[in-house]
Amino acid sequence: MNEILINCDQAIFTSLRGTMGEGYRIVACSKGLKPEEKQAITRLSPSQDALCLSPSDEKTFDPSKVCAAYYPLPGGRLCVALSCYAGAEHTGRGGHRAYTHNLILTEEQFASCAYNPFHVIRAMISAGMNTPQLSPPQNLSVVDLRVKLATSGNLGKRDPGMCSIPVLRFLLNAMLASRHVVGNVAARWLETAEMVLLGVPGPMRAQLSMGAGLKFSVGRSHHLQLLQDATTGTKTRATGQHSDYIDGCGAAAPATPASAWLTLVERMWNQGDWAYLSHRTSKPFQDAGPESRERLARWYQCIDDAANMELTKLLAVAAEHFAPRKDPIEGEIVGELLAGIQRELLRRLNVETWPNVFKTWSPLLAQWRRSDVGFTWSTPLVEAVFRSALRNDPAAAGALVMDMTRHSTGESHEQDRREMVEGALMQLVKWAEGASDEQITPMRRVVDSLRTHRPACPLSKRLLERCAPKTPVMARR
Amino acid sequence: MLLNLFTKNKKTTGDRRPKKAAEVRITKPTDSPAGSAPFMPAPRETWDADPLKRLFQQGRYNIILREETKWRGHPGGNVILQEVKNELEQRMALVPAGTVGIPKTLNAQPGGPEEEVEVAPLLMAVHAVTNARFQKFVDGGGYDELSLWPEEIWPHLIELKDQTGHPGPRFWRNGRHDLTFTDHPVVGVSWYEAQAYALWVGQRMPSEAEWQMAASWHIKSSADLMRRFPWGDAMDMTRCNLWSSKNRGTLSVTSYPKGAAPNHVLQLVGNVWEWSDSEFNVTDDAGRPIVGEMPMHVVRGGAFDTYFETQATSQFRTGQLALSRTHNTGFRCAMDLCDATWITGG
Amino acid sequence: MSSTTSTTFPAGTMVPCLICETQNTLDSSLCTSCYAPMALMQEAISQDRDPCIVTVIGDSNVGKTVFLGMLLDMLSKRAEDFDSVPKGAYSVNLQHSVITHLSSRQFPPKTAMEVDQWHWAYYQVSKRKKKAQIYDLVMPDMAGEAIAAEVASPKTFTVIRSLLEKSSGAMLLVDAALAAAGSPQPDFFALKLMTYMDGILASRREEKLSTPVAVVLSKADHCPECFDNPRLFAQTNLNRLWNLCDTRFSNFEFFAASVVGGLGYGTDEYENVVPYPLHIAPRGIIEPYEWVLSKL
Repeated sequence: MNEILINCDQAIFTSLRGTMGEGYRIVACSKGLKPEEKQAITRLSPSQDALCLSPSDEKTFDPSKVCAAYYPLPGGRLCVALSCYAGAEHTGRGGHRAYTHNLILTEEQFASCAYNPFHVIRAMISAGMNTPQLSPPQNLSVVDLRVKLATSGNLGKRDPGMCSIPVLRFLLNAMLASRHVVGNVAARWLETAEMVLLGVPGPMRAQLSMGAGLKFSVGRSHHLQLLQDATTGTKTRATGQHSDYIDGCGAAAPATPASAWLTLVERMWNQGDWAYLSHRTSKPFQDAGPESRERLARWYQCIDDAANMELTKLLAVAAEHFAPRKDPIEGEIVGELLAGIQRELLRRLNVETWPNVFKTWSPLLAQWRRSDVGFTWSTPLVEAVFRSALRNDPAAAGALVMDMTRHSTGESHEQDRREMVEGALMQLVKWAEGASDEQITPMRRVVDSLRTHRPACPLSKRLLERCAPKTPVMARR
Repeated sequence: MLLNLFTKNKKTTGDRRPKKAAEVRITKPTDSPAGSAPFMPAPRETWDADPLKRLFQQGRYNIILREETKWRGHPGGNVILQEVKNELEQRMALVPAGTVGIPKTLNAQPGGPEEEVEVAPLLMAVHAVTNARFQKFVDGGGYDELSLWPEEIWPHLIELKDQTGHPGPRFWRNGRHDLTFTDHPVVGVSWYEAQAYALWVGQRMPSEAEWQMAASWHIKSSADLMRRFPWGDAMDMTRCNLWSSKNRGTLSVTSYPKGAAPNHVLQLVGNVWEWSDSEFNVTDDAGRPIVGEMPMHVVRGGAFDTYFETQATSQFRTGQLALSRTHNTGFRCAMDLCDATWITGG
Repeated sequence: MSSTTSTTFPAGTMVPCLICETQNTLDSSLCTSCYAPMALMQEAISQDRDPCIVTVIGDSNVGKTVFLGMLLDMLSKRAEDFDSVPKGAYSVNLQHSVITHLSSRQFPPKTAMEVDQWHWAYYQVSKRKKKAQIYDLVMPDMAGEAIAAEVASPKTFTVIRSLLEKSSGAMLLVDAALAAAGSPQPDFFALKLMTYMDGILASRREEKLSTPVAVVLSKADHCPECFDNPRLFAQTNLNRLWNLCDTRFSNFEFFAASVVGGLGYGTDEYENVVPYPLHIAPRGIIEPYEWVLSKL
């Protein structure tokens, strides 16, 4: 689904003069907001001079630029906040007025937005919520927001002006460990934040918080805080509050530990394939802990690397994944992995040389016999190997049939196995009946074996007949 | 005669009682609540029945001089006329011609936009108008004389009362000033009251350019000097009554003689802001006008409670609502040199 | 913020926050719980004296920043024979900002709601006389919005509650100009704030609260009658507040104060009205402070 409709509460936080007071506060909201949610929004929303925008610097100020945040609220809902400047502070006391439009999403709504607050932010901008309402009615209605779920095209290729991969990796690593991290990323806070966030497994994002383009404040210590501020004060205060700090514009990033998940995300950052990254990381995983992430990353790695793996390696990988998964999402990914390997194997079995193909036979047969899943998955591959054998080495094909005949696959697939063997025999018969005597000769050893194992089989008989040594006609006469 | 205007032989009192120079009497702000000294009402003066003597008694010297010919035939007229000239000679000082640059923006910086104004020579009062002097105006019925007040202010005249509802400056009581402050500048008067007083005595208020000329002493000369303060370019707390002087109230108009301008005009800086005749027009750096809730007039010079020395220079200009009657704003009078017939011979 | 403490502690020493008493490491710059600067505690340790916290509270845009900045600057200029020594350079930041803006005829920027953006001043104050008592005063410049949010919904900004709980005295600023113009907002806000204070400070409802509270009628230059008789002004224009003070507080007094001598109005590029302080003439700034000190 490319677009969804969400229906959520909203609140506007800015500085206005009203009958009940003045200054920064929730000046308007819908009725569904709970007191504790209002309290959190009041505490976490940016106030005077808290945005990393410089309206006083006309050369660099871009009025279309916005800041964003999202954070969990008490009670389980999430707040997605879009901030911008709304002209001068109404009291005229210097500085510029920060204006924040907040949408309150349930966890389900957040999940339906692919756990990506930036989809919501983009929808808010499309709905004009970056245009400040400076005379809002005190009671707002619930918002109906159309959210497009497309990530591709929003981010573009990572350009040299953005922070380096090691910096992104540092930020992501901190996020994955649920640590607080502050990064000076120049003016590209939104894109950078989305890149980092897409590296976090979807459901985990709902437990974290993020601020992009908001100046650092210890009272608003989001897990990920990306800003444009290279002052030493920010670094000192951030580290004093046990937040990691990184200057994404300058110093080299500290090394991050080896991690399959980080490597996976890094590869997609490099490729600039945001849709694929989002697809990989935004599933509703039941467990997004470190071990699960590493497992998932290895699977994804295999899916992506299947084309470069040796045939036997592919089979070995597949062999590791036939066990059933408790988490349906994991089961889905494993299914994708096995299907991918199977697809790749089928492609390669059709083009590889027979000696290479033959190397797969033994492990393939093992999977074929091992379990229901193994049988189902490997059946087309077995057939492909047989076809390859038939093309390249019919005697070997006969041997394969014998293998298939000798090895049981369990009761549940016995019938399937028989049908497969008969199918193979049929092909072998057809081949034999059209083959020359010279071609037939190597088959005789196999036929002897058939006599032992399938004495009553009509196909075996036909094959036996075709392969029986012929007495020269003249001599008989 | 002209030279005499520059001599030190000037009276150093606003009223005619001799005072010690630089006498510093620390007083609480005149409107301070409980705790201030008891109010000592100034006694009512009895006016002479003779019109010329009464005018003289009221200090309306320029009014007398306007009808000099008429008064020469009055019994004792010549003597009084001579006394009038003596008084004016003592009380007024010559401000020579010159040019001043009036800053046009609020945050005036050196080199910022200014309006160059040519200032003709004038006479400026050596002292600000004292409570004693203003008492004569009140007692002389100045508040009832409609010709002294512009028509637009007539509806507000009834509001120009003292603390007991009598016509007079805001901090007076029962139409009397406190004797403790007799020689202090009168405060709690609006621009209209200041203007009415000036008209009543036959003078006028200086324009802000004239005031700045007197304080900066930017006279026409090859030296082209312009002073930041009447006494020179450096702030000196022994020469003026600002917040940092820690007097916390107005002082006698004769205090701080060292702070005089070259022509011995006293307290151009400090003690009280002084109303000028000019409307306060100013803009921000972008040229947008800055206005008051009501029309404002320029006040100059800073007061006893002026916190920043930079706001008490000869160039600093600010404004007050014309109807405001604050505890730190007074005024002084001026007159055109051409009206000083005893000097010009005209 | 830097500490001037000369006391040395072993690494890893934990010290309580001066405001909320949360244990923090000595090298923390801000309390991890309430975000108050830890330098306050470091100063307190180096002084070996319990500091008094005097809070300046009030609604947004009532003039707290200007009042406090001006007060600190006047103290450092030895107003009314006070001697004051800032403890730590951070203590000077507020007065520096306020004075710099006012002297260039601007009001200082609005105080941000974010607690770590607030200015804190730690001063050692005494009268310039022999054997004068020395007070170590901690005075934060709080955002009015944060105070309003905490009063309306307690625990929004816990630092405010902690501060008020620890306050030896308070100066409550009320916009006299607004009250004189007939707006009920100053009266109601002050009423809520005093009720909040009463709630957290009073041990028993029958006992009046003894914490000295100076109610400062700010912006009194707009309504000079405030200066004539602040009590009368409060009784008339802030009657609800007056009655609460009378009923629940044993140590309160009303003062009028103003900083600006003349006010002009311009517009900015967004057509907002911008007030300009044309000249500065502080009045009634020291008096409430002196009164609070006399009651400590």
